[in-house]
Amino acid sequence: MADLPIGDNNWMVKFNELQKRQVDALVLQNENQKLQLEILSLQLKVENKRKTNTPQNGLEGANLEIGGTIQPQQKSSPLGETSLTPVPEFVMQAFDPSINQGFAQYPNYNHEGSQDSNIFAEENQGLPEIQQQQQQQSDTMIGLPEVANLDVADQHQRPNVMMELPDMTNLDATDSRLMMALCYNMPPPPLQTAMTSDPFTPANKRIENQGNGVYSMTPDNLTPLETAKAHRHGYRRLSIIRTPVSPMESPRVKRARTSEIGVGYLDYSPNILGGFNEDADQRGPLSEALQTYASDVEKLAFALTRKDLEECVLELALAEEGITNLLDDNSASGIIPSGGLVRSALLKRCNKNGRKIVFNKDIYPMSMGLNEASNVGAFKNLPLELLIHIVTFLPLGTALKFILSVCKSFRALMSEPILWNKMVIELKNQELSPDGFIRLIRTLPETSIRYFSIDTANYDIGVINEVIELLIKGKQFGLTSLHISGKKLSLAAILGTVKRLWADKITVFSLTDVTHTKVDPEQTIKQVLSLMPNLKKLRMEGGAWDIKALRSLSCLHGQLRNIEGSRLVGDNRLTHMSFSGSKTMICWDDLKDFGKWFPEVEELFIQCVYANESEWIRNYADGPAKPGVEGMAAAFEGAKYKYRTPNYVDISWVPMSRLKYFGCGSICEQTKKHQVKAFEDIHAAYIWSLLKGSRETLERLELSRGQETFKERGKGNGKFHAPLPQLIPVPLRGMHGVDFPKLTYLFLGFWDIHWEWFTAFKSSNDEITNLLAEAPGTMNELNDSTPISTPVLGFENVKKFIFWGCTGIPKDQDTAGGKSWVLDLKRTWGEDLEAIDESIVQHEALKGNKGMGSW
Amino acid sequence: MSEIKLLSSDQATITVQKEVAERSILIKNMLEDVGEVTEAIPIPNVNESVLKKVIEWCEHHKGDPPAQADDDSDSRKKSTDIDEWDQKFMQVDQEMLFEIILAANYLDIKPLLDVGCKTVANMIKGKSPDEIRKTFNIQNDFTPEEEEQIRRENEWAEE
Repeated sequence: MADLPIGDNNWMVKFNELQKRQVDALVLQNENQKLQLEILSLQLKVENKRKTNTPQNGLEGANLEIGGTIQPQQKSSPLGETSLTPVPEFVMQAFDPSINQGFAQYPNYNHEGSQDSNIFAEENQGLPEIQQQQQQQSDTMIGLPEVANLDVADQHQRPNVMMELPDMTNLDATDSRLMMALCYNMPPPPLQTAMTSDPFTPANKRIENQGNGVYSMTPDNLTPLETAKAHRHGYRRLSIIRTPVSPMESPRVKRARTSEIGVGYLDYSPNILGGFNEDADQRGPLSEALQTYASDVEKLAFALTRKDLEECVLELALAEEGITNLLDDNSASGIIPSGGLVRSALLKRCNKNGRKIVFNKDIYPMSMGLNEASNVGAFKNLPLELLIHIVTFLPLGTALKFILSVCKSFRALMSEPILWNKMVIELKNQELSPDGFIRLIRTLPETSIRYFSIDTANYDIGVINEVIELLIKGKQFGLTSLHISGKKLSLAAILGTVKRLWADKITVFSLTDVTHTKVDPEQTIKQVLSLMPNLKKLRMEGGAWDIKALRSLSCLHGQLRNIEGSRLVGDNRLTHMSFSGSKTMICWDDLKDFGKWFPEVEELFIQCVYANESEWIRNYADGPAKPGVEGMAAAFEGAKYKYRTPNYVDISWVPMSRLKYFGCGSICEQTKKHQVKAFEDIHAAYIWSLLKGSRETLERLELSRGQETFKERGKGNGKFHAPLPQLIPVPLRGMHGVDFPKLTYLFLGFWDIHWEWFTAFKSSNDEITNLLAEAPGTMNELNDSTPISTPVLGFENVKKFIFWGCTGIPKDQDTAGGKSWVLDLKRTWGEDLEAIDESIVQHEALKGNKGMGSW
Repeated sequence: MSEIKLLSSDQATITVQKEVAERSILIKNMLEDVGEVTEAIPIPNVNESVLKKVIEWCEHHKGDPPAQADDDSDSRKKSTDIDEWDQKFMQVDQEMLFEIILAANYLDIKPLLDVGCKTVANMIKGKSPDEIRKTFNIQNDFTPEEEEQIRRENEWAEE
């Protein structure tokens, strides 16, 4: 053999070296594949563990417990699935585009590293030490193919996109979201130069190149719609875990892969989004950082149109912009910031065409923050607070339509807690369907609901339970106002609901439309209200409130005890009380002590106040009989008692010194109707005791006697109205003038009015009224020249009088200038007041009444 | 009755009764702080025409009881009922309506702000998204696909 030239010898040497390297590379490749296989098997083990830990109902347990790491708290995300809450501020700083460090500051982060070596200690025991080290190295590299030796040109030659988007024309937001999550979970695409076959694409999921340079890798065992449906029924959303599978599968891997491999839960848990390093201290923030990333990516994805999103995904797959950084970061710190790439690419896309993404406003799909570039027409110059103020005047359904369907900028309002702080979230048949309401609850920001109202009458108990469950899951613990109504509820159900929604911030509670037979006031107080230590406003409907229940409510006498029987000690802070409902009754003799029991009460409405005749007889029997009722007394009680009319000074009324509003729907007696009239004076005495006790603070008074319709015996269906009782009966007319300095609104219903007590003028003076009609401008002159009497009652500041169905008002002397009685009032109490009666349409006339209150 | 002068953003001076001007909490607080003023109080964010409208409203409501800060903070339902006079008062073009709202907000006249916002809310009520866009000249920035998606997404909200 001729000597080869030196150069040839060199060539041979080089050839041999190359051959050796190739062999080494193949060995290394095989080693890598083995390691990947091992890691895959470990991952499968984790999956199996998770499935084993998942409860049968599928509602819980999807979170993977890794190395004892405390899982972050759950959070409701826009479309309802539970995700994990990003918390720390430094994490958000890490994602600040201006800083743009991404995960580079977490040096131990790895992409698929949920297979923390601590967990797999048992699995690693069988491995040689060197192999374990290699596996640890490989753990940091998994998901990143052999790209270290590639230059940028090679990267651009990377032929295919790993994932083709599903058929997006038929997908809704849920599916888009899933798609984005899939994209996010996807490991960096493989480079064909490294391996002849794609080790990251399972054989059963790979399909042929479709001619457009795109390979399809859609999941074959779960469609996005199936995923959405699964979630809709309360289960965690299923997703696909992109598990790298080596072509050299072990039987165990193959068995696992062909069964349920790849089916996991999209909960942004670390096993999907990234891993933990061995430093336990780093796990919490890292996990939260990952979840924040995931959350951001999700939000940004929703801010894009579908077309933009598709393009963006394509770009990401090609990784034209980020691959260099990806490699640099990987070589420098073992970090694969694919999440950062997704996020930055999405941000870039979103910021095109003047779109500005505001992170705290873009939680809801397809939303943009309100800014100068927003095309919101007439609302353009309106500050956000004013826009929210307008929306709060809309009913919930209309508000949602306005927010979601008008333009993208308004959709950002969905994530404004201030709005939901002010809106009343009301589950009511007319407003939203149960599904819609559930979806809304899932969407709202945490602790944003303040006013929650639930009408159980029209909903299945399952729906109600789900709503309550969602409120708890969504951390809606900021309730200040809770309203429950519905005939279906028993006390146990009410108690259960309140217990679950318990919040010490609740200051307003109402329990209405509850069948009174099911709810005993005293039991309700003891069991339900004891859960609300800061209650200020209470509305209860139904039930006879006896003195025992009222005392319990007042916290006096140690009556208020919790379920365990412990005495609740605390101040009585009730300022507003409303005892509504036709069955609700409170006796005058209990009401007279309200000033003592509820010292801070400002507003009090009682649907029905009744007089207890036996009580009255006991109190006043010894007095002289009222003239004219002796016969009745004899007939009624066999002349056992002497009847007399009590004066208000006879009643030991405890003044309610802060009372601003008193309302009463009707006044009745616990006796037969034909005996009613014997007790009118008793009612009057109590009424005037109340008024005189609170006259200095009273601003509104709505006092209705209630219309009495009698059916006379033996006369078929003929009905007749009883004569109306006198508001100021004759025996009480000796009292001195009563002034109401702060009263601005007076409603009197079905009383016989003693008109001279209200006005200083006699409207029967035709001369004056005619003169007024002709020359209303001379009012002041008339006031000066006409001798007037002084009315007993003083209403200096009353702006509105309503005499509804009252008698005693001189209504028959109307003139062309207006109703004479109205003119009388105006001349006495001021021109700017308004006075109406039942001649006005009822809805219009009474719309200003406070009644049981709107709080 | 004492009077004060207000200087609008376009340098117009309007003389108004102090009691009327004090419907504005902003002006009331300022007058309490500085005492008697002879010079015109500048209202830099409100032009003359809007300021006149606001003063007209204040004159009509000068005797009303002062609005409480937490008037309806616990209200379960906010009524959009508006007094007859206020309804007529708010029958202005849309630009003026929003200017009044902004002025009421700036001058801190809560009842007027509420009336303005209620008026806008009433304009929204009972309208489809398209009609709302038309009413307020809002650009529809949804693609047809997005609109279809939203329609499906919001079926629950439109029942």
